[in-house]
Amino acid sequence: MRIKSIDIKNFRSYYGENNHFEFSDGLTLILGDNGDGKTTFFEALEWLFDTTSERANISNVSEMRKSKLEIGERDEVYVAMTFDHDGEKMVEKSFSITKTGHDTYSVSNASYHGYETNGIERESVDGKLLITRCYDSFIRRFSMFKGESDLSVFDNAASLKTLVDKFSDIHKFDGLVANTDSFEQKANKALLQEMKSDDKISKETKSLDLQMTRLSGEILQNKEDIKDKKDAIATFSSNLNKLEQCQETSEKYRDVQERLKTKTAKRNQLMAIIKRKDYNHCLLDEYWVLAPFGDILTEFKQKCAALSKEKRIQEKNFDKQQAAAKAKLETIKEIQGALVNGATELPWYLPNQETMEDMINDHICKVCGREAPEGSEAYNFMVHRLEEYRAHIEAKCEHDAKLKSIDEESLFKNDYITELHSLSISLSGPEESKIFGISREINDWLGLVALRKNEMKEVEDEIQDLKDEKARILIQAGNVSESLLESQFNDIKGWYEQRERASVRLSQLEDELKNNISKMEELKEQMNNLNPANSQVKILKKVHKVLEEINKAFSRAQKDNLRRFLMELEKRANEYLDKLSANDFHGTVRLIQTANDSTEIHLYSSNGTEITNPSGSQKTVMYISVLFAISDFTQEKRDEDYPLFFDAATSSFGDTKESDFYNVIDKIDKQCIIVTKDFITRGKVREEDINKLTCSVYRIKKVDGFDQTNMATIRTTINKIK
Amino acid sequence: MASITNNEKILQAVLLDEKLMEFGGYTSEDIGNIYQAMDSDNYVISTVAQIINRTSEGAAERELWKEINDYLKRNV
Repeated sequence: MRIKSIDIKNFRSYYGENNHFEFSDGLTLILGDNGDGKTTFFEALEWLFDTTSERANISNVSEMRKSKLEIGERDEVYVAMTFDHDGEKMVEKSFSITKTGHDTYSVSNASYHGYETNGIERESVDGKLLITRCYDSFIRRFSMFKGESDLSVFDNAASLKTLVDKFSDIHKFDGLVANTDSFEQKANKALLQEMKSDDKISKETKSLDLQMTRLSGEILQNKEDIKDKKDAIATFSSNLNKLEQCQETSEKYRDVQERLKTKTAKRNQLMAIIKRKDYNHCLLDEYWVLAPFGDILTEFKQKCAALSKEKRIQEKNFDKQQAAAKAKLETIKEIQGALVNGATELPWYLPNQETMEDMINDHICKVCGREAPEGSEAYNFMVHRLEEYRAHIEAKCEHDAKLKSIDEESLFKNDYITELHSLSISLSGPEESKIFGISREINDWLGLVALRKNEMKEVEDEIQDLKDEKARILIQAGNVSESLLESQFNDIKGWYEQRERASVRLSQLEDELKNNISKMEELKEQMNNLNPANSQVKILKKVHKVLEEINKAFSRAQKDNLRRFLMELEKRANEYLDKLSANDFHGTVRLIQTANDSTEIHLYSSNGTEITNPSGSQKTVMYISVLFAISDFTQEKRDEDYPLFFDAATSSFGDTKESDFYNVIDKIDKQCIIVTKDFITRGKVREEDINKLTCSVYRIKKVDGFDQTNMATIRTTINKIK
Repeated sequence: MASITNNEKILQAVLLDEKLMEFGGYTSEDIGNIYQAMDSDNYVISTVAQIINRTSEGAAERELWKEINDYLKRNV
């Protein structure tokens, strides 16, 4: 199978339908930083290849697409792949999503279909059947690797045996060996039957056959018991070895776990501090809304003070003007009251109006006692005097009115400025201090939050480092489970004792088997030495002997074939190992057959010492070398060639090893798709390093400007670099 | 052709077994290809070739047993 292209629509961060990848026959790199969509790409493929479920899953829908759907609107989610496998084929898994309410969605129309070209016709086929036929789960298990730890599939000895069986010619012997085994038994049965019917040797034959049947049962039981004991011893030894080898790893693991727990608690604590204040509530409940009011109040106070000052200046000037006006009036009055000779005249109100009128009416001056008849000078004087009096009264009224007018005149008819000033003064002091306090409180809080966020980022970085370290430890530990690493070695004594007991029993069983086989040989010899009267027995005896020898030859050929295949596989694996780790110590791969015909991968130093605890990168390169070697064999049989997918396969590699790895894999004649964050430094692709490679390279990246807390703003874009 | 190639490989792998050669009294030169082996006068060579060829043709085990048993009874 060779993948030609993959299209993804609205699957998680792959928003929209312009998500297209094309693949060459060799290596294709898909580069992305953390969170750019590497694992999502891998999981999109896993979803496509998952033949166990066709159900639509809302969690696979792009959050961005969901957020942009209108109520009632529908769109589809799919992952599609075109590939060559005995002609061009296509498989697509899809479903529809409809927005049914403000925050509710429904999924429907789940479909899993495929197409294949049959001659010139393009036929629609069941997608599940197509994938099962062209890329079944067994093959996927050995061609899709998510992280280095997935490669530990080879830690299971049965896995390699199954692979070898599938990709070598070994299985072709299985039927032949089974047939010759059956023929040998049938020939033996026919022979025994004939011997039992021969009068001359019937009795001895029956007796020997009975003994041989019983002995065969015992031998079979011996063999089964020996196998069980060997398996048990191997299991105990393996566990004890793992425990011994992993003691240091286990301590490191528990240390990392402990630190991880502490850091996680610290992060939660910081998170709780950061989230302690709800800003929406603070706006009103804690008057944060007044925070900008401090500056406004200051400006208001300044303006009020300026206005008040201006008012006072203007009022002072006005008062001066008023005083001047009043003084002028008084001056005029004084000038009016002066006599010609400078003597002080009588007050104008003496005599008063009543006295004056009385004297005029009586025609007598009651001041001097002289008569003043009408028309006389004295009379006219008094009339004139009365007129003057009246004029004075009028002038006084006018003067008083003017004074009153001056007194009543005011520059500012309202007290607004005063009121404003009073307000300004009233807002000063504690109120002003309180408002400035809010601003300070907010600034202090935001400063604290910023500090805590920085602290949290550091803690999160530390947590990530610890997680990476934990992953490295688990890779180093191989197929040792986390629970085993967490164990405190309490079981070790019990396992040693059980292994010892099993070893003693194994020794006894092996002796019993040896003894029984020896007895069986004797019985066979006795049976063979019987001299039948019937010539047919002689013929059947020869037939049995021929088939027995042929059966043994087929069995030996089968084992020899497997041995030669494993030798060739080992040779090719070591060639890859040498290339992939050219500048690093890498040892030698050995494929070792176990008692139960499984095959285990081991790493040895050239001086013959087994490297029992290889580093994570050594182990990864070792497994990839075996994988490539197996792949070589599959490639020789074109109909069973498969692409290899790796997600973050080189996370334990150093720079040099990484460079060697890509230089080799770049030239490999095999379809290989690697999703990685290698070649990216501080968010930028190292173009110089990329340009050294000949393979296709894609850069996937989440679009800038996303909201760190909102998944609906995350979208992966695809850019073909070369 | 692929099937013939595989059959030839298996034939060589089995018949070149030293113990079987000693038992059957033949040499590597006596083997030939699968069809020559089936026609061989040596019943060990012929039996092995028949088992390989008929199994690859999909012959049933019971049917093949009868053929092989009859052949050997006639020729040993």
